Amino acid sequence: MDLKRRRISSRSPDRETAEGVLSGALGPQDAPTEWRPVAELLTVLRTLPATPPSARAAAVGDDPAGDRDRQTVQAMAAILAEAPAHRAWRRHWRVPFRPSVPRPLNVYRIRLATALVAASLAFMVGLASAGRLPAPAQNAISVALSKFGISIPRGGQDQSGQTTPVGPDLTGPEKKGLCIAFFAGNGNEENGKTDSSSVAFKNLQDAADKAGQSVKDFCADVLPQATTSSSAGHGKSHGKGKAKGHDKSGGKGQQPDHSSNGHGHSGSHGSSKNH
Amino acid sequence: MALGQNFARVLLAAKSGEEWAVAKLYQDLSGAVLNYLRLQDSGEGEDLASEAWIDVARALPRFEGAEDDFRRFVFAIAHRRLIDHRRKLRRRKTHPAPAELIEPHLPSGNVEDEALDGIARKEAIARIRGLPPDQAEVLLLRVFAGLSAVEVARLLGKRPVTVRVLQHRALTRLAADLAEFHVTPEQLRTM
Repeated sequence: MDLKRRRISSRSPDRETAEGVLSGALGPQDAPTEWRPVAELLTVLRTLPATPPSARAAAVGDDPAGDRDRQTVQAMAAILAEAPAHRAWRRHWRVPFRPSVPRPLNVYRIRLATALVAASLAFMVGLASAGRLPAPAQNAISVALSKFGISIPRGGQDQSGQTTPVGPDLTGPEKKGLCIAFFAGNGNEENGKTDSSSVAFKNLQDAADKAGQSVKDFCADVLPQATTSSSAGHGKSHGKGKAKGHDKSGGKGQQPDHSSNGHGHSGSHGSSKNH
Repeated sequence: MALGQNFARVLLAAKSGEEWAVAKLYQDLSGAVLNYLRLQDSGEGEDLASEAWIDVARALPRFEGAEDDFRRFVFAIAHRRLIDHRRKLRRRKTHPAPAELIEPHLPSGNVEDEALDGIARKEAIARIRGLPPDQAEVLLLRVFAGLSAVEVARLLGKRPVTVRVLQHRALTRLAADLAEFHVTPEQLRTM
């Protein structure tokens, strides 16, 4: 066994020889001596007759293929001749079949529910984009749709996205607080602080104009004289307030004493413009 | 007998069911296909070849390509048919008698021609059948189908390196076999 294996390994062909012998490019005459029998064997294989001798002897007439070959060719031709019709039938068969009976009810229910949900969502989004929803719902939809890059105004905003502040009611107790803040420096006419962005001060100015008075006269009934005269004092420096925008003590007739000590707490009214 | 430039015309006619065109395609490759199958299955090679050609006819309307592609296409179908046949044999557990056992008992034509043709053929067939099945498969696909190692690898689902190793071993084994029995090229030619 070892001898045979050693003999085999000693006859190992190189890659070019093997390729040449197998592809037929290297014939028996051109092959190396030790490979000539193999090349000859492969040549004999290539020239093997298509049919064995007994079958050839049974062949009829001049046809070398024989009966079996003729029958095979006829069967192939028949298959190929029928092929187009076969394909057409298959196309027809593949047309989606639609049954005339209604589908199960639950399918319709699911579809109806889906359509209703979709319509509701579309309706809500439409209302939200028109700004017609209550502020919390508007805010919720705005936040949700902003995640998808859709911009919808938030609640309490007009179409341009700006807030529409109302300001304090000058006919009520807020008037006193606003007047204090105004004269404390935030909205003082003399200091040029009548900020057009301050709706509260603007309202105060408008109310005074409507009454045919200056702001000073308009506020005279709720403020002591000293407040309006010393308004540019220290109060300005404390005007950055944490203010609530109105005087909590207003309405009780108490006068704040902040202006008398110079520091006051006018800051408590400082942000009344936010209202 | 390659069809060459006529191949496209013959293929088109064959697809439409023209018998002459089908016969041309068949005659071009039937011998190689038959020998490829017969050398691997001595009992039912001819039946397998006929079934393979019927499969070729069924698949032919979908075929697009040149003559070399058609050759690969036909041998791929023949190879699959052979694999199916081997699976069936494993299930049936039967072994049909080889054609070599039956042929001597059949009425023959010219005895002298048969003898002259048959000896070299039988010698070559015996050597090939002495190879392990995977080596014989690679060798026969390279010889009869004219496929490259890469094409054989693709057809058999193996790596090209594996195919080269198998063909290398097959050639080495054939060389050793012929040397062992002292068969020379001249003997093979004159057998």
